[in-house]
Amino acid sequence: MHNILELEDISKHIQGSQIINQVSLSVIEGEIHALIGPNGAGKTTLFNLITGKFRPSDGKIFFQGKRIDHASIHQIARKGLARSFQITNIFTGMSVYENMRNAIVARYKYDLKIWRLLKGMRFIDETTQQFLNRINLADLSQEKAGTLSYGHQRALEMGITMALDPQLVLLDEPTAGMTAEETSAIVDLIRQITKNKTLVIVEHDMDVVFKLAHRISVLHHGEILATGTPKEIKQNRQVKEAYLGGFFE
Amino acid sequence: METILNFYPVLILHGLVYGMLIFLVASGLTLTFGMMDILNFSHASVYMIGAYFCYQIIIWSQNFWIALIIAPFICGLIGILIERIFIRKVHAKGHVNELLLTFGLALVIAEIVEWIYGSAPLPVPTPVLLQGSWALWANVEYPVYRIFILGLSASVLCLLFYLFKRTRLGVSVRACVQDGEMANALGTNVSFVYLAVMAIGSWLAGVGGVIVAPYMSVYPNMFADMILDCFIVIAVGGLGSLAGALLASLIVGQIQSFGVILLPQISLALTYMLMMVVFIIKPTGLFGGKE
Amino acid sequence: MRRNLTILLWATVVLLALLCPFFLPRYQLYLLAEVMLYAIYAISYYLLLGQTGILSFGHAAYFGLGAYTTALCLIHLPVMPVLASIFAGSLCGLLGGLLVGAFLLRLSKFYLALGTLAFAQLLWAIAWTWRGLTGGDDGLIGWAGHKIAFPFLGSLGISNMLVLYYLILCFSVGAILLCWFFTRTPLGNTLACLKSNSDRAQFLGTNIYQAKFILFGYSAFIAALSGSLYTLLTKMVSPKVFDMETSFDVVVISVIGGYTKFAGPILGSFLYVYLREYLAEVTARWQLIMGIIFISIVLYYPDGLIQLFESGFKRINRSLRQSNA
Repeated sequence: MHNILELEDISKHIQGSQIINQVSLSVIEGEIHALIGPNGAGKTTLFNLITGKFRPSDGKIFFQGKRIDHASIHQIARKGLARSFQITNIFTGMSVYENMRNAIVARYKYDLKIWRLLKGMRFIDETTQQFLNRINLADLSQEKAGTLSYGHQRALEMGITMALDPQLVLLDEPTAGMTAEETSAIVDLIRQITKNKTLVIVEHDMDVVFKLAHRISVLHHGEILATGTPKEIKQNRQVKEAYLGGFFE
Repeated sequence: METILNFYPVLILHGLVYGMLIFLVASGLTLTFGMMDILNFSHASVYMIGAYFCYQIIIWSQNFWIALIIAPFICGLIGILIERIFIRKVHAKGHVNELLLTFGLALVIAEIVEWIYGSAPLPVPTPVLLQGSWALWANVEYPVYRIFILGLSASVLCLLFYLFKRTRLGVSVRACVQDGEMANALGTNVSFVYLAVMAIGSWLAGVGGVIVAPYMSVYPNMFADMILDCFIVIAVGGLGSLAGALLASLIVGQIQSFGVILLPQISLALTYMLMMVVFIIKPTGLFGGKE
Repeated sequence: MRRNLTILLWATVVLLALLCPFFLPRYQLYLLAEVMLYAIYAISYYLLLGQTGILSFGHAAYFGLGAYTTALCLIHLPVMPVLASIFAGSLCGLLGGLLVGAFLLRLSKFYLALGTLAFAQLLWAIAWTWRGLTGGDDGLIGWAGHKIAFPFLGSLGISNMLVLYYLILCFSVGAILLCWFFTRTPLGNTLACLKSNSDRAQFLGTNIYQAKFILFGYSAFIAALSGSLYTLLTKMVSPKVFDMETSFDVVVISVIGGYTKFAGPILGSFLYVYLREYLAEVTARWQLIMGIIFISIVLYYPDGLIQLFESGFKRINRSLRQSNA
């Protein structure tokens, strides 16, 4: 059992303000690790730092033992680290099918090929269809992604991320804005498709967090307050003080 | 030996004159981008309209000063009209559409100008008061008119500086450049500020047009030459930065001035090369931060 | 069904084009050759603007590189077959495109549009100043007597309009097919992703810079081909091939025809050449009218005039399907 992701003293300042302050975090391979904290704590910034969108002002990030803090976004994604977005970030002008296919093409590293027609690649079509079935969007495959309902868009958002077959998945508030039904459907989906993978999930819905997570890290004002099992976090005094108990009742 | 001593100061002055001229036009362009995220290819056309109005008003009134006062205000108005009538319709559809539209506008304006005035350059007489040259220092004589350009643009520059640093409008403008939404939330009348910036930018371009008319004559392709220089200045100085635009204008002015004399073969290419160099070293320009 | 109809339509167009010399006078053939030239130029631009959403104001750079390279080959290397000199021109354009890509492709929209314009202007300045190589302002002439050796037909001169017409027709069909193929490759799809959501494409693992780099090269290659053919058609070359008007022409053509659909630039070339020809007879202000049409299309009909054809096409398709049912 080793750490698939390690953050060592990661700091980030933007225009004078310290957004992330000496964050150290380890994610064990195979676990579901939840990242919680109030809005503005820096959770999405942390994701941006890990996935290469931001460069840390200080500190190191290791993925599968190799440093990635200076790697570019696509390099990190290619290494097997994929993320989904809090604000749905799909190809709105393209159909659901095309959206999924984009991920599959990239996953098989065919995205820059110019010697063959895309249409003729049967295994790409088959894999695309497979994934659409898994996320239950197969019957909407010809619809333009921008016209889907919010819940379906979120499912597609996650589906595209998973279609890359990453070893480490970062999900940024996958259940944001969902009804109770939609939430439980998404949680089932998450459980299914992250079976042999490591998952780091940012969530506000505490039910989801306690249902899924093996371990939880609490982020507050850009610093890690505590890391531990759900039971440990519930009993942690610092965490309780930070949220005046409201979080965990 | 004497001629060399005289030579360089004159070249520097030439460079300053041209640099300030570019700055007058480029300042408006970089502000409207920095604040309103508008890429306006037709900004230099307003400059050209200012120049042709100068020509026309002088024909009617024989008086350069009247042109100097009236034409920039007409240009300010035209700038506002362009924004209201055309840019507004397209802004939401993205930068590509905006660039295409303002590009089309620039072409059409150039065509209209050519229709009315023909394609040959039209000379504009220098006002009587500003003819001749002054002896600046030992053996260096310099045309009065160009000194006037320097003086006028320096005054306009001071006016701008005062406006931005000391007046409420200036503070609002700077707030809007930083974060338009926030400024709105804090009670600034953002629409009014946008209007003001558009108007002032176009007014400045108009001033530039009027004062360049006696200096370099008016011709229908002057918008193209100016937009290219503006773009280079803004690219080098950074989109949205007035300070950057000023510094870059001065640099470009000097390069053009010295380049034409010292390296005539590649003088045309020098400013482009400058731009390419800057793009390589710092893609967002010397002072730029916005992408 | 729709696909078959499209193929039928294009086959008809090509067939008509093949038959034109039998019933059109020489002058009309020249115009059609120009249309095809512009079509190649514009379809190479489609790969940038329509497919990937990249606005370039300096596409003339590659057109000019192709034109001058071919001209220089024809003048200084008379032993080189004409077709090889065309290829040399395209190759030179390719290199130019890769050069531009290497420096400029990380820039955002505005800087890219201007950077490309600056590059084209730089080439214009060089062509204008380097009289020794390019003849400067006067340009170059002197290859009208060249001949091309064909397998069964023997040696035919390039001053023969018929030869030129069919040559350009072959090249334009080839170039258009190449570009069509390009849009259907995985890279073509990736470029469409870049246009739709470049951010997400990166997070999928796509090296967007490499993708754009290849695109720049490909697009420049095809654009230079049109420049080389221009040299053959007009029998002369001057710095005009690099100037702003040449860069702006392709933008106008693309927008009027419709820059988001593949067939748009082809329609645009057709309209542009004929409008220029016949409007110019009516009024000296034809460019003004073009400009007004351009603005109107950007404002009110942004998908371009090809939309009219598309709607008509859909209607025909629907009625055909209904009559089959």
